[in-house]
Amino acid sequence: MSQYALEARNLTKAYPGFTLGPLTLALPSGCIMGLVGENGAGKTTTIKLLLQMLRRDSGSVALLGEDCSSQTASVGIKEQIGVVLDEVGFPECLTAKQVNNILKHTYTAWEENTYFSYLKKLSLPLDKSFGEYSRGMKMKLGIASALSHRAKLLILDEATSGLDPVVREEILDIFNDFTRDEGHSILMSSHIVSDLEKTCDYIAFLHKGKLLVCEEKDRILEKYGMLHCTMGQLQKLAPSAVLGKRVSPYGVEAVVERSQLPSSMEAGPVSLEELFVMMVKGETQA
Amino acid sequence: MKGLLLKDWYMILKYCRAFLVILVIFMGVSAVSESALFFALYPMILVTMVPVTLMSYEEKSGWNIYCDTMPNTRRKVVNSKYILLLLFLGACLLLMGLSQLMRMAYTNAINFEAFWSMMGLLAAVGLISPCLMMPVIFRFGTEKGRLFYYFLVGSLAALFVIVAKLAPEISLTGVLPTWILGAILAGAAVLFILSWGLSIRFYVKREF
Repeated sequence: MSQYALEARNLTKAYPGFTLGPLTLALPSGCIMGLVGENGAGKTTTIKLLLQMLRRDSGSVALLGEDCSSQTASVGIKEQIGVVLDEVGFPECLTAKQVNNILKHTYTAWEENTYFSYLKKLSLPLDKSFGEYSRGMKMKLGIASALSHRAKLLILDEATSGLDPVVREEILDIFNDFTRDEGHSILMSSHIVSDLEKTCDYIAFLHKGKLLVCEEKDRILEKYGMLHCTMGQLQKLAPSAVLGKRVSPYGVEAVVERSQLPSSMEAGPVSLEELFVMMVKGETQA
Repeated sequence: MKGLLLKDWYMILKYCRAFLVILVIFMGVSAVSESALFFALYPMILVTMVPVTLMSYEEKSGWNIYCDTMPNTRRKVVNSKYILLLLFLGACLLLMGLSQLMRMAYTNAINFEAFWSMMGLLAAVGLISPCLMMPVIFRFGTEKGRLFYYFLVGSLAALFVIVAKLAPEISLTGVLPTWILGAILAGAAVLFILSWGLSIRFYVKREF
């Protein structure tokens, strides 16, 4: 088994007015990586490049240790990957039963029992057409389908966006169950950072097509902190120590790199959400 | 491929039932009508457009993108649509052929030359629209495919008018001279092969 479930090296894709990359990221087997970024940061483009739905301008992609240099090569790999996009694209007339019939002739390792047990667990009706499902139900059906063919890697693009907190929690629990097997990994993109903070081992932060951070979540939270101080104190810090700041009449809140702080100053904990908002806003203020 | 065809079948049962009803009604009417060719042509054009109709529904639901995340090659996706086209063309020809034979037997006017002439013409006409449209849809999507369809219908109507003016001796309702029928069928076969190849080429390169 490969050490990495997913490896992208120097991946680039240029559009008029937007360039993604060069992007290098690696997801170790058995882990969950959150791909976070504002709308338009390049999360979906990254996922489509990984899945060969877009042609990359340069770079390489390996999924489950196998190089995906062509669509034909990637077909074998897709047998072992479960994908849920922000819109689950089953035709509206299909029922969950019919989806089972179609997918058992699509995936060689399709497991009907697993599929139907997920439908039961997620309270999905068997004979109602997909078009009559709510958004949450559609997403659940997409997830049940992605988890019923012995996938080793799940790739989820905004799979929890637009869902209510109860359904989100339910779905995140399923993802956590999935990664109990150390050969299972997940790459999930979302702009709901709190979901990623709860679930992920690694965080990759994309901003305007560039990867600003790609590290273990705990290391990120250790490395950066929130400093409450005066503007005068902040100005004494090295500019590279400050990732972003929020100025108010009561003082300054700044996200800082702890290792660059003088011993007289101590930064408190910072949430991923605060960190990323400050990093993006900090850049726009500079 | 089996999964793709099964999905198409479920969609046909839901969205194209009316087409099948029209096919049966027109088949019956063409068996007793004097204007047999018109009543045979109309359902042929309608039924052979089923793959195009399905592609439109698929694009609306996002299936074309979702399907690309599954272990289906794009070549297979294109192949499934052309196989569907052949199946529907064959089924329609069979039914229309039966109804024409019944008509000929009923009127005691069995004429195999006229029969094969009509079948050849039906096959060619059935292939023209989908074979011209499918590469456009696989390359640009159904919206642009629809615009192309309007252009296509206008062009074909103009072509028939021009042919009728230039060669009034050619009557589509009678027996076509063998060389004309042969040329039409050969042209349809070439169009079908070119269309299939182009669709694969376009779809393999398409980005979602």
